[in-house]
Amino acid sequence: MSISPLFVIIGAPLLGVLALLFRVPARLVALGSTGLMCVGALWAAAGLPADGGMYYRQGFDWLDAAGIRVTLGLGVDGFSLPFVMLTCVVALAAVMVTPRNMPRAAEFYACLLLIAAGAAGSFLATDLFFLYVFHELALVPTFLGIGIWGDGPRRVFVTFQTVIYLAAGSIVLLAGILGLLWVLRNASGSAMVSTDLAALRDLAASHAPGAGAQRWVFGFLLAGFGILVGLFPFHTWAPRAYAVAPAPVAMLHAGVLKKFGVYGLIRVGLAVLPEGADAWRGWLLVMLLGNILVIGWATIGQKQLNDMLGYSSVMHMGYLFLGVAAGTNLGLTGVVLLSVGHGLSIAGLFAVSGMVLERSGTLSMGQLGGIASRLPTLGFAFAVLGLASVGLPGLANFAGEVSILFGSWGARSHWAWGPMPALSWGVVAAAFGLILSAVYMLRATQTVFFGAGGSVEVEVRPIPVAWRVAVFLLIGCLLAAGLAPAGLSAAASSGLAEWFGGVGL
Amino acid sequence: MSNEFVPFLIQMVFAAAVPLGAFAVALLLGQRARTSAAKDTPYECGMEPRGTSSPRFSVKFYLVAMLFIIFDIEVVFFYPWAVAFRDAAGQSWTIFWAMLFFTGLVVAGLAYEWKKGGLDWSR
Amino acid sequence: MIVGLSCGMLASSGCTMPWWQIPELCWLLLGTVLLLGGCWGPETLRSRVAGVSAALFGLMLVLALFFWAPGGEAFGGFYRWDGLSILFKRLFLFGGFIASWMMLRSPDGPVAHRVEYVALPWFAVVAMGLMASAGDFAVLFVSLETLTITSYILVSMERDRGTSLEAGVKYLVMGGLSAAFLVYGIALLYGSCGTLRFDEMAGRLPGALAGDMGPVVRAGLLCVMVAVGFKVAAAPFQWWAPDVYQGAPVPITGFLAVASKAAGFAVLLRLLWGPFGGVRDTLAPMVAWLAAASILVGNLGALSQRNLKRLMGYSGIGHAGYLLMGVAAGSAAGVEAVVYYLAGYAVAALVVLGLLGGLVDRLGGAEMRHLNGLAKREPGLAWLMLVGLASLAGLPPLAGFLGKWMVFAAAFQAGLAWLVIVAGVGVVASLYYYLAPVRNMFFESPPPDAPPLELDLPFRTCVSILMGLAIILGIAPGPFMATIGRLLAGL
Repeated sequence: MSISPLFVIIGAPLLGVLALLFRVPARLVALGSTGLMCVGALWAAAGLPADGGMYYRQGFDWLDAAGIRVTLGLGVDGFSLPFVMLTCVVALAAVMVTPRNMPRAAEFYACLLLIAAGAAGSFLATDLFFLYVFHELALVPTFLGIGIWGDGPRRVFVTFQTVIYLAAGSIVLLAGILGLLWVLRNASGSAMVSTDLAALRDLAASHAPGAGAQRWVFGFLLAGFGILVGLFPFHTWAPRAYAVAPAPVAMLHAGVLKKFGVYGLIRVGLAVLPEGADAWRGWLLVMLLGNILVIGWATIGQKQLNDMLGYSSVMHMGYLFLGVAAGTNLGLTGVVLLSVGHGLSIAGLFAVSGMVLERSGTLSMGQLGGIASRLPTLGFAFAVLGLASVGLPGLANFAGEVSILFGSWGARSHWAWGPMPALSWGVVAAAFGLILSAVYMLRATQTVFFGAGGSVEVEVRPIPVAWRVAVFLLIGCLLAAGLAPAGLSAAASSGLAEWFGGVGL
Repeated sequence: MSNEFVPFLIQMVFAAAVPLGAFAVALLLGQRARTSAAKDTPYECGMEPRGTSSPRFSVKFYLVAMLFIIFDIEVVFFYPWAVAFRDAAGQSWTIFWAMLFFTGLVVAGLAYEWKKGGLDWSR
Repeated sequence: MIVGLSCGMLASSGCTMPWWQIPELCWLLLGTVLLLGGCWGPETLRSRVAGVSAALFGLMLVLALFFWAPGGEAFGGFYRWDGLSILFKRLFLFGGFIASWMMLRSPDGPVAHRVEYVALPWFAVVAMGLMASAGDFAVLFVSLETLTITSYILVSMERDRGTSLEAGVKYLVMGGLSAAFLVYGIALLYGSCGTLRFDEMAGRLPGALAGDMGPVVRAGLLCVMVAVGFKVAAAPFQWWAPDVYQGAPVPITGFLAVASKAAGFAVLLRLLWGPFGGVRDTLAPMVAWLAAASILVGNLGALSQRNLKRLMGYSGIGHAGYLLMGVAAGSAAGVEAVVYYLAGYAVAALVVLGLLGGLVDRLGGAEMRHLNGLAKREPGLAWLMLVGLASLAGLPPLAGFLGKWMVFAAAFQAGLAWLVIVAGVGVVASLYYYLAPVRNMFFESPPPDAPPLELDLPFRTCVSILMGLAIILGIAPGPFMATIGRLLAGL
């Protein structure tokens, strides 16, 4: 067994949590572990092979029980690598923007590190069981993070609502996973089913389950992953949770953890159950248009900056699902690019809104105004990140959105309406949604940061260096990925092609 | 179902029929009594039947009664054991040790009872 | 004593084991010695009787873990020494060990009857051991009654507390009812099969069920299953559990929740894979319905609870439901999952109840509001409690999650997909009430005049070890599952 960067990425935050049990300088430990995660991510990126296939693969037999063989498998490919890098960067930024005078700091950093470890682990797991387990690891830290350090009158209610919603999603997903294993066992007739993802994919290719079985199992997977991502109409937890959560937790959750659902749906759902995915495509299109149009409309009406960011984050999930619904290589590559871009930009936006809250004591857009003239850093950062989120060319989101829209145009659909296939209509609606997002984002930028002075006093103090570094790190990554998306998209595209084996693309 | 159970069934039906029938007959034939508080009071030879509904009383008697039952049952065990002893002991002494163990347990219980004052009438 | 300590070690070989080697005899002697020593012995012994008891339980547990090997029977087949019984006896000893360790410290509990309080768990463990080893309905009934009577006393031992007495009376009435069901069921089965022996009944029962005695056999099976349902607190026979869990002293609550429930499942498995083996397919749907009812009643009933002990009572009903899922699966995988689940449940429930038992007097009670601000007063203990609750809620990477995974997988495999969906509802509901105490501990502020919480080192160690076990069972279940598989191979 050789040391691999994947151990570093998962091990560093877990060791950090262990260290935090003792009286150690908490911030330093957290910075060290997330820094190590980033190093690990770069190391993993350096080793990625040209074909984008699974690399650094290691598996350990873990358990044979109830006819299911579970292996503790880790690996990374061109498809998961961008997600892993996103996790590491956002984790580092989340630790850095945490105020130095955070109450109960050790516990807070432990929660952040656990969420980061859970997210990284679920992207690195090559085993269905551990994919699920690592994601669940983040549930309790999320609960504590929102409940202890959250803000707002309905903090406890929102905390419980979020966690129970997420748990419901997880349990639906668990039922889907068990159903998948059961269906595959019945189809193949073998006594023991391995939960290794590659083995499952191959098993499904050689012994495809019947269309009916595929349909109901994929339905469970879609609902489960969909709840975790905030797919319309399962989204109601998300905006409230992000509005209440402290900025670092919101950054990690909205920026990284939520991408798990999309990632899992592609990695498991599309690859193993292509017929099930076909059957649900129409419904998925309806739901994702709900995300884009209904939530987009709701976002415009928000009065609080953090509510607005939460809703906009849910809205953008619609674009990710559009790529999933298309299922083409280009569309899925766009999903990866947009996931990275959205993760970076929403994390930065939440960092800014956290700082605004700290300095002005309110996030009500009616009371705020002209912050950029007092604290130009905040204004600049919010403008850049907001434009990124709207899809300004040159930033990562643009590349992603364009790939998704092009990848979905004319993609095969079950039905057509008028002159175009259904997905093309979806593309038209999604393009209209971009206007919605421009409306709310630019309006917020205008009123909060560049308009006339607000009715509340803004505390003018130098902004901490760590905060600046973190936000500019996020912006830098956005720029890098946006100006030269070729590397990222080549890795994602080849990784996806390798994973799907050319089937169905 | 086999016929052996028919008498059993008859008995169950009979057992249910007797009390239910008594109630029914009383309800059909009986006269409504005129009741008053005084009439509903139990007759206690002129004493006022008043007091708490849950008076405290000593459980000493029950303790002794239970002790008696335990030792009584021990004796019940001893009889068949003694009858079988001669034959069984000829093959193996297990029967002896088993009863010794059992008696030891009962004696341990007695010792415990003694120390706890369960045999002390005056307390 | 020395003979007793070697119990079970020599039993590894041969088909019959001498009667004096069965470990229950040794435990019985030890319990008696403790009882008499506590009454008659010198003052130094009397004041340390709980410590002696915990040490002896620990010693017995070590012997049981490292020296027992299955194989053989005693008393001409009345007593079975197989893998199933060994696994469960280890669990009973573990429950007794932790309960007596908690008695070392637990401030609630009867002062005047310290000795009985400490010695009675031994007799309960003896009874449970015999239940798990029963090869005959007579043995089963006698040992079940011994356990039940011991439990009445333990539950109602704090005579000056109303809830404790209430719990005792309720338990007595329900226990009497369940015993009546059991005896009646046994009588009907005896009437239709002509034997009380498990092995003989196994051969005759399918024929009797198909013959003209069918209705009698059905009634008998139903009665026996109802009695077992009472014992494991499965809905709709669960009414007693919340009151008893709330009323009993905390160590006894832990003991009942862990060991007594395990004993019920030992009997259930013993019956379904013994005398009822031939008619298991007839009984499986009934077990599945019991499971669904228990999951819903337990988990939904717990939602509105504000007392932690009572909450554990309701959640225990829910856990009985998950366990019954594994039984209803009717496969070897299901049984293995049940044993693993029981171990994981034991560890996690004892973390929660152990902490509660150690802290209840300093906190001022077992209501949820008494936990307010525990994370600020004692962060370490609050995190321990959190891990225990998370494992009960079935969150990875803890033992509770893996147990649920295996039970659900076994149920799925048996085609009980609907039951898995019902269980999913239960799991989501359970998250709410398991996180409710977490809210009190982490989100609320401690009361202003809160006294400092002092918890002595041995107690902290005990709970920390339990938490460690919950994590280890969750992340490295391989060796444990291998042991279970090996011991259950002949089932």
